[in-house]
Amino acid sequence: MRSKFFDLITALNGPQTVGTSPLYWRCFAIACGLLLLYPIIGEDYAVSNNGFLLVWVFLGLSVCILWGYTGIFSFGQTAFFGLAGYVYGVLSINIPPEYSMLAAVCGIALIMLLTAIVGYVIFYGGISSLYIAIFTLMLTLLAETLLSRTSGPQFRIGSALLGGSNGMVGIPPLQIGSGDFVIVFVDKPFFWLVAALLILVFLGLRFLLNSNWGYLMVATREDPLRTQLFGYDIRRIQLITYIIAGGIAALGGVLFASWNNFIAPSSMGMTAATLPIIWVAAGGRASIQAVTISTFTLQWINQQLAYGGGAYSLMFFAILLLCTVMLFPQGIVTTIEMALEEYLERRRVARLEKSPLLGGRL
Amino acid sequence: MSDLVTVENLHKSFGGLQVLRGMSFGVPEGEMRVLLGPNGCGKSTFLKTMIGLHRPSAGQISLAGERIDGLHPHEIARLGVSTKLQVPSVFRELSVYQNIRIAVQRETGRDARSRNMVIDETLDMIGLLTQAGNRAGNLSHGHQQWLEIGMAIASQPRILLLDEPTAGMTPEETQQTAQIVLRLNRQKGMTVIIVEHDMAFVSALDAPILVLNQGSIFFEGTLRQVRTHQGVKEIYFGSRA
Repeated sequence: MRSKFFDLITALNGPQTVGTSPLYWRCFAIACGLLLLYPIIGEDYAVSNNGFLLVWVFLGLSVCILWGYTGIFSFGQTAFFGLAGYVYGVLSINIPPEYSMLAAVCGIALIMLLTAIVGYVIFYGGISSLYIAIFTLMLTLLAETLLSRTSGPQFRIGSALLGGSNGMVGIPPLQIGSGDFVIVFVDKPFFWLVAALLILVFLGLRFLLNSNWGYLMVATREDPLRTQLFGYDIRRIQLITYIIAGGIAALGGVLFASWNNFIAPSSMGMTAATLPIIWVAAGGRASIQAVTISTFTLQWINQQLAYGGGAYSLMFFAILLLCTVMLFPQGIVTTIEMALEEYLERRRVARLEKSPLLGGRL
Repeated sequence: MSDLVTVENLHKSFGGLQVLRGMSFGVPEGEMRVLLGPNGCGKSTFLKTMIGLHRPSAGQISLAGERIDGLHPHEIARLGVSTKLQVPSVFRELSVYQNIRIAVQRETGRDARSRNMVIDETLDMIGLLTQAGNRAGNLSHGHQQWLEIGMAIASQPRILLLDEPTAGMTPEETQQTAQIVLRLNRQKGMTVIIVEHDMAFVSALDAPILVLNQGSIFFEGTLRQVRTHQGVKEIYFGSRA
């Protein structure tokens, strides 16, 4: 049992992710514990709002594994995020509330199917990286434009009105159970759901990135030709990673629609497509931990600045991106992580030097 | 002995420019050939065509009787063709150990023990065991060349293609590279095709030479025969040589 536990921890550790020491895992366990305990002591509004902020982390992680780990620069994750919200909205409005989880699963599966089709065209069609960025941006803007033109009663799927640029309203929240036993995921239960899913996705990504597959993702980013010459089909690596990233973005979209009871085409606009890129660049694109921290923090700042007007928020993000590119090319959070790691390593060496076993001879 | 690699009447054009013009030769299994020729004669184009980066305009390339021209680079690599490119092509951000790991993990799968054994053996062979933890981008040019050779041989390929493996190396490094290649060919029985300019390296290999000129094989023989052949001298130094 103990051995299996250590095998599991070993599989989560590796050079592709930050933090491997027992101290790191102790801190991680404490952070997870605090995250899950927070709703007990927090106020309803604050808990609900922080749950909403955590939803964006899925979108950040989706961009991170594509851009940071596999070298695919995609604006399209926002489209998958928004479309998943719409699919969940349409399905959940048309079926009894006790099947809302099924609607969520179907929404994510459909979006993964869509990413498979889009990804197949991109990667097997041999589209170069610059054109992938342009193509995926077009896809996002196309989704926004098409959905904006769906106002009027004729644009309905069953009972769900698409709502044009005003968006789809009345989307029921996620729930499990029926009859006497029902948990509706709003406010505190929603926070618990999002936090639990985030921990699962985070650990799942750590496992993936430190597995053989993770090495292939990084190899594809570093040198696609070299990777091919080892017998790996990089189109397959890129496609599967794209589908996984699409699934993570879709999960975020479903949670967003469930929290908001609403989804609008603006969730796929130009601004919406650009923000995840800034979260990832500012945090550190080759670290899922940095992106988790930066996405939550920057969305919180975004929210605070938005109270004073949207222009301040955009100005802040433009300056932040500029500063990151010029001063912290590896990302602000990653730079802090590296400095902390170096400090801990120096302290460890200093302690070893003073160790009586070594007699200060190291 | 039947040929492992057979190149028949290979042509490759880029627009109106004909680079390969009816190139034909064969290499028996376990043997080594050196491709020599002046700049622009088509050596690198041939290697790129062989590994699937270019499609031939005409002719064919076979590996153990099976046609490989027109296949994708990864499909050709899976048939046992391993390549070291002219410019060192290593994963610069990763450690030396991780570079070799990526090269071998297709063969060893999830078996960490056998994977580590192959990695250690390869690093020992190319003399980079003590640098396993270093970032590949921080290695000297010569060591990067060795690392790429290590990556190419780690998966035990049937045939190894080396495009100017000693470019930018010191004379000592060049001799050490020759020893590595000889060990692979003579002790491990690996078939090797090398494109090279460095005559000290070619001399140390002591392998049959194919002289390429204007996209086809012009002369085949030993280094001594190549050095004394009037036609080869004319190719390199002009008609008055």
